[in-house]
Amino acid sequence: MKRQLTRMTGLALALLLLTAALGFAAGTQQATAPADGVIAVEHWNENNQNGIMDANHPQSVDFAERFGIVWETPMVPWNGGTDYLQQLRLRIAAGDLPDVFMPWGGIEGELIDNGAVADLTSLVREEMPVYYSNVPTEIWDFIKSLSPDGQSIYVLPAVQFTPLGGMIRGDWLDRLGLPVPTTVDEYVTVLRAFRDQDANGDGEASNEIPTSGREGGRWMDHLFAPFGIAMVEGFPQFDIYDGELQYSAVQPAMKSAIAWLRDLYAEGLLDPETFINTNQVWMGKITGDLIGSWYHGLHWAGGRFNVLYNAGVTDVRLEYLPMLRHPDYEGFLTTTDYRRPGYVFGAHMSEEAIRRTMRALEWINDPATIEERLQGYEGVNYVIEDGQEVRLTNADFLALGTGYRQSVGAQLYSNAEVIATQNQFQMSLLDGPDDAPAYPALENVNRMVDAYSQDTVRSIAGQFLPPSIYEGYPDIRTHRLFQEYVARIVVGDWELDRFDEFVDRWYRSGGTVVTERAQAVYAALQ
Amino acid sequence: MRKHRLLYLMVIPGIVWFVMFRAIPIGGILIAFQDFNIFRGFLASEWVGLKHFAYLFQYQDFYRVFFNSMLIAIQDIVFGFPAPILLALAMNEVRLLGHKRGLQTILYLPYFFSWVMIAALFFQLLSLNGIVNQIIVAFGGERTLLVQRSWFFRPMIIISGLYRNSGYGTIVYLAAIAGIDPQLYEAAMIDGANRFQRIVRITFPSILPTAMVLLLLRVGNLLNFGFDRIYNFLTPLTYGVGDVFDTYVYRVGLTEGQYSVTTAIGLFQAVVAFVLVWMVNQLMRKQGGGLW
Repeated sequence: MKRQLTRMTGLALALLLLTAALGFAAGTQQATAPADGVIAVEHWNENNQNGIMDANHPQSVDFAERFGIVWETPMVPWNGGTDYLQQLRLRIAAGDLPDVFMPWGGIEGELIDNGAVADLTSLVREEMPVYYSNVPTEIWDFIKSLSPDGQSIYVLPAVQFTPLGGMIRGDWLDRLGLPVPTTVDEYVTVLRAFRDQDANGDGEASNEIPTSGREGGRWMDHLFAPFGIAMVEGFPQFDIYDGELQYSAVQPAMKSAIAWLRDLYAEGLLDPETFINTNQVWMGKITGDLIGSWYHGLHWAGGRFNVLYNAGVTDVRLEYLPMLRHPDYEGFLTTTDYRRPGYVFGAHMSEEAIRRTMRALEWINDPATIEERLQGYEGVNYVIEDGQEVRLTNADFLALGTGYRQSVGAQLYSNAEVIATQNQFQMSLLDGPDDAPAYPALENVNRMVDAYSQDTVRSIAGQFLPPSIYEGYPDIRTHRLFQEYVARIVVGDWELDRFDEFVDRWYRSGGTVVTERAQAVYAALQ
Repeated sequence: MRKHRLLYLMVIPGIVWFVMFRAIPIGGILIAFQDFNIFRGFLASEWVGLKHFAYLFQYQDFYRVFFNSMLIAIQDIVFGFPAPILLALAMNEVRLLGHKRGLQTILYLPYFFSWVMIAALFFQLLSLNGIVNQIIVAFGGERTLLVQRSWFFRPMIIISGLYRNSGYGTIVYLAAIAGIDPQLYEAAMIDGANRFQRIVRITFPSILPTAMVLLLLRVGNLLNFGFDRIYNFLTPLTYGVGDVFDTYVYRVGLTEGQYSVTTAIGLFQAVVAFVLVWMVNQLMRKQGGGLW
């Protein structure tokens, strides 16, 4: 009996091992095999959309016919870019780079120096003429400066019109009989009214959060802009101060900005949870009708509008919050013509594969194809019901549960005109102003983007700095020290004067070297 | 060998795991002495000797990271090590089997929650509208955001650790207690020893050797505090007190790709851990115990 039992256990164990081994083997099988003559291209980019794209996706089927490629986009977790970068490094270490991918975290320098990505200098002119001529010359000059000989193109830059600005709830202002503020003082008056009165009209005067930001002091640039601080999405930038290229966070103006933020915080005008708000929590407060004024992509505001409207706030109206004037400073809203590296192509790719992929990218980024692209594909962008075309929002599409992503993404080029045309086209697909919330949301976004285009928006001098200036100083690149000091001073944990200690520590922990490198690069580019 | 064939067979997965994930990676230490280039691999990377160690000791935040790591680890041992012992002793005194089982399940449960969940739970409890603030307000206090107070960071880490690990940690002690000869208790009862005296004189001394071995193992992992345990609680407001080796290695090594520097840190951690284990073992040997 006992002997039999041991035999049985042994058998079970062997079976278990066998299953595990088979599992490993099955995991390495290719999921899809492209048809003859069609080249499979593995594509990675910022993955904020859910779902994947494979050979059976309607867009891939179209791309296979049009360009002879299968556009394979696996699901790569994004998590603010951290997880993406980690996965990418893993693939580099395994010697198995994706074919076409967005470099992140300044990795493009390493990729180029080690010959891991393909030289695109002549190919981009031949296969992407529209994109090539749309991208400004100074951006191409910068891209070339990343190459060893200073003359070659290894990276396709992302040049996108990104209207990042402040917003304020117009319906809240109406309820309190206040105009849109234009100066720092007027803004404080409005924030106080939001704090003290029932601005959201829910019968409770105490649940309004006048303004808010996110952890690391991010996404509250509207509060730094009045002081003339160069900042992108909460990250201080290099710009000209006292005639020299310098880090904006160590300027005296930053101290004034922090002092003001500290006052706002102490008065209960800045969300007490600002420095621990995750993206989700912050977004939840905005769409929960709790935040009166915030900073974000104006062109993305339609999503917030829709959620608020669907939750019963049918009079929701977002107003553009102009750059607030300060009596002592010359403020401006920071923008960069060069957003980030868009794509690189693995050096292992054949020239034919690169050419075909580039043709697809050219099509995606040619302003002349906007309408064709937005029309999209049946079952992805629209469905036909009773002979009528019914458009699918991203939420509608996800609800279908196909496991696919809705759009190929891969946008490398856009300007204000492109965004406006896109919105116009989307509005033309709707049934006029009564088609709420979609129509009023688009109208609202267009109005804000127009107002932004008239405002004090400036491209900064430090936009063309290669990631290599931070080499050896990772904490300078990640703005860690700045984030710690700004948070602790604003919440009142530390005295304002510790800002001077921050400046000193920043320079000593590598800031001096990084500033010198930045200035040298800037001088060379001039 | 032949007699216990099956037992040897069952040991194989464990040995394979150990060789693959513990023994072979030791070779990776080499990259601490190179300027490791992820594209070339470690056979072709340039050798730089002790450059990264020199950098480490010059790096001004190194001492802060070292201090934070040591302080949190020591506090965790001081509070976290005795907790399961006390809990096991208390649980052993629960006489109703049904109660005991129920209690064990409740106490073990948090161990199976990930740190992400536990951090979210703590942030929720301590938020402005969380239960802790509601209690503070009920007693006439003012709402305060404890999670962004740097002085509260270490207590929060220790308390969350106690919540998650104490219950599960009792398993080994309960097993040790179950092995105590009941005759000892019977004899003590005849001699008139009360419950408390029996705990102090019999149960506690009987599990002490087990406790010593566990302490030794714990000291060995002193600086390997566990990345996600800290990372999920860390915000820029608490960098000053909460940035430890694990979070630093993650930030600089994994996301910034500086593998050589962070391997040097790993090696440094291992050396410190080895010295500590050796010292504690020496101390124990003097008391007649010790692992070797």
